[in-house]
Amino acid sequence: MINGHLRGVRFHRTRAKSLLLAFAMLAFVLQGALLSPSLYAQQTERGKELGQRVKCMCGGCNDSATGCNHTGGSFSGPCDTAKGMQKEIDERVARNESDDLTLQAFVQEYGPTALIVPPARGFNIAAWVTPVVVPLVAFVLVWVVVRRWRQKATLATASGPQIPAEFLARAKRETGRDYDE
Amino acid sequence: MDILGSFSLLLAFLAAVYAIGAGIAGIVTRKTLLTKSARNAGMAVFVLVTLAVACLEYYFFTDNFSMAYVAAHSNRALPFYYKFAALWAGQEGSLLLWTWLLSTYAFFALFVNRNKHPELMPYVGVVLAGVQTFFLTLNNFVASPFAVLAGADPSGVMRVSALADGHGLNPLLQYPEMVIHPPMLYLGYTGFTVPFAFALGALLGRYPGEKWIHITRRWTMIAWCFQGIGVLLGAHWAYAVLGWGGYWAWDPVENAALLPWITGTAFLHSVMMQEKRGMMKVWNIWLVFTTFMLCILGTMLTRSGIVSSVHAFAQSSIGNWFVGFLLLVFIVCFVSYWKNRDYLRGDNQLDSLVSRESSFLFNNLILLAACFAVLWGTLFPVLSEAVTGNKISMGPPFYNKVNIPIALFLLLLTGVGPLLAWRKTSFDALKRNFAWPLGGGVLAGVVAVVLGFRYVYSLVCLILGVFVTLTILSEFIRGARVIAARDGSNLISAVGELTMRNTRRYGGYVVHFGMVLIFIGIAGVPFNKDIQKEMAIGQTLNIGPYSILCQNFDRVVTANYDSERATLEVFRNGKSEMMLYPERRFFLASQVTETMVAVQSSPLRDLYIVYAGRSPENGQPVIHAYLNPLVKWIWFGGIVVVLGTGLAMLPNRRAALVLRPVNEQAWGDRVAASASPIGAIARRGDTGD
Repeated sequence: MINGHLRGVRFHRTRAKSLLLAFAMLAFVLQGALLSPSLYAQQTERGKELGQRVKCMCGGCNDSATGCNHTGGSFSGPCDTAKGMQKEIDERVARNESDDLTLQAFVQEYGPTALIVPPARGFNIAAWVTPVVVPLVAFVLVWVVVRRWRQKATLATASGPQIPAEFLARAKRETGRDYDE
Repeated sequence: MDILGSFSLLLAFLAAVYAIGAGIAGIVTRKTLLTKSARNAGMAVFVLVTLAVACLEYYFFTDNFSMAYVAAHSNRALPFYYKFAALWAGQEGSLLLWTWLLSTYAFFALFVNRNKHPELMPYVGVVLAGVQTFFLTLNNFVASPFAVLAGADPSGVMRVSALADGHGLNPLLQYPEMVIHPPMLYLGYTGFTVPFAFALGALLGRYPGEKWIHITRRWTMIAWCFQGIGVLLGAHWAYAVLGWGGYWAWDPVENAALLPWITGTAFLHSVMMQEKRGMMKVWNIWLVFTTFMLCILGTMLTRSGIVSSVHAFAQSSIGNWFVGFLLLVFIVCFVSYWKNRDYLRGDNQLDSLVSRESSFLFNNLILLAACFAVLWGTLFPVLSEAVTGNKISMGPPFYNKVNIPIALFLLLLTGVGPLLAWRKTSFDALKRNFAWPLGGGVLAGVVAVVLGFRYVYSLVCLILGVFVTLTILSEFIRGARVIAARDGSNLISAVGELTMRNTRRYGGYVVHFGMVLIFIGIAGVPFNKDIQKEMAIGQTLNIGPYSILCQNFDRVVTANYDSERATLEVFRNGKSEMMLYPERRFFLASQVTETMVAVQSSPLRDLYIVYAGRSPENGQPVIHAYLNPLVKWIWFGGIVVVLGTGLAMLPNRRAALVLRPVNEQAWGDRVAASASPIGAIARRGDTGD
């Protein structure tokens, strides 16, 4: 019985110690969070990656939420807006929300300009397709022109003075490269 | 003195207008007196604009704060070199700088050719004067740098007033590079006006042959080189001043500076096809026109505020003037081309797809694709807003996705092109020329993979970089061996001899090598690391192989700014390596704080430290450290590009000998006696490539 009572006291003491320790740890974590929010660091790679796809909406920079770095301000680091956006991203990542849902939430709040690049939807498809299509069309055009040139070239005599074959052979021997073979 | 500047600007405007009128009248009536008079008026513009610039500088150095522009961009405590640079700190002054540099180019172009090309120069003079008139209109009537501050006295009469002290120069501009970066960039922008004027003049006057290309080759290279230096200095300034650890953010204004450089690069390559084979005349004319129009577009983007940029001047209505001018230039170019298109018919056709010509063709295509992608990304937000009504952002991921593959393909062509012969290359020659450069590139790639290199683009860049370097080396060695064998000299002096015999070709290879270095430097980006930490005295921060110990924080007070400075000791493997002193400066006149980054640069990596300031929440000093590999290669590559361009502009050694009859005979004899095949081929390739 006594032993049982002592065990109960020890148990209470141990639990109190555990609680105290947990409280201390919580206080430490909270202190860290409260005292140094300027160094708010996203916990996951996914959070960081998402933060790079969202623009800091403070209006004073062109950076991403993760890359925000305010030069000219009182502090050269992420501004309050960027920190708030980073925090929101991390909360959504912690809730296991999809990337699309997280990005859409920012679009709902700030408009399409919240995304660092436009999504390939609607008119914005043109942003992604045109830089690929136009050079390809130009490539095809050049190809057609070159083919035409070559057809014409077979009918025309080569311009410039004729160089004897033995000269070309000697030049090839000496320089190791071809000249108008 | 107070009205001298504005008066000389007005006179310059009148002189430019006269140069247009007299020039056109001289061309129509064929009266030499009129064309000479127009030329002299064109040259007088330079003198008058120089006087205006000198006046504005005088106002800066004498702290004349009754001048609105001086009061807005200077203050008494500003160091004298920044007072000098304050000339181009704002819209009005930078436009004046633009006009002055343009008039300088115009002066020299007119002066150097005063006794040459009598059929062409009147047209060139009119085009140059036309462009000057536009900018002088802006200087005089839209954005005058000579506006004075005025206020009403007690009786209600308006009088000139002066501030006791100015508002000071933007702190971001108070960095040594700002003294040279804008002039370099503007020397590029304005320099492209000269080849544009010659091209348009040749087209209008149907000037025979490729003479305009020979005349403008050096002018184009000078402008291209300055534009490149300006872009690189801008990148270095962003790296050293802005404190974000990077050097290129695909900002619209950065893009605007890059665009004419890209088309200028395309022109410098394709022009060789016109010189060597009489091909691509239409293409070349339009490349010059496009390059000039991109220069105007870039100026418009910087000054109109139609795209949001950290580099842009304040939003203003000046953009409408540029839109009007751009439209006018396009109409003039198109009508001139349409009326004279038969003059641009090519002399030759492409003989083979595996040839130097086709490599230039693809090089041009790829360069223009890159140019289009950058332009598209820059202007798409404006287009999207006009079509959908929604604002969108085009950030770096767009440009990186689109441009990195294009840039790598371009790097490949840099290696392939020089190994192909003009007209046609046989398969045997291909195998022989490509074998060891390609083998070396692949070997470098294998070694990199074994060492843990995993970023695909960086790996491809490394492989191509080694490939291109080896092709350049093989070109030098192959040519030098021939000279060494013939002259009995050693290989190194033979390399020098070879280079000086065809400076354009081998200078071009040096430029290519510089570009390889820049590409390798950029390939280091995926390996960047950074860490930000609150640091009290005695605390340590670890990044890569470095440990950074915070030794002290102190204050430095000057008349211009108060600075808070961190003293950091950097250790590597437990050994003290260096001291770094990142600062935050509070500029008194403008009441703005800026960072002064401390960078320890080595060929392998940069240790880049920013004193971010005190945490807004608890007042602790915060240090942000970056480890950026290979950045130094970019700046070094830029220097190599400049040296290569300088080399390519030198006259060939043989050409100098030709001018002296005694040596000409000796040279002819030597060639005839020793290596007539080489001589025959050398004579054919005398124009160089």
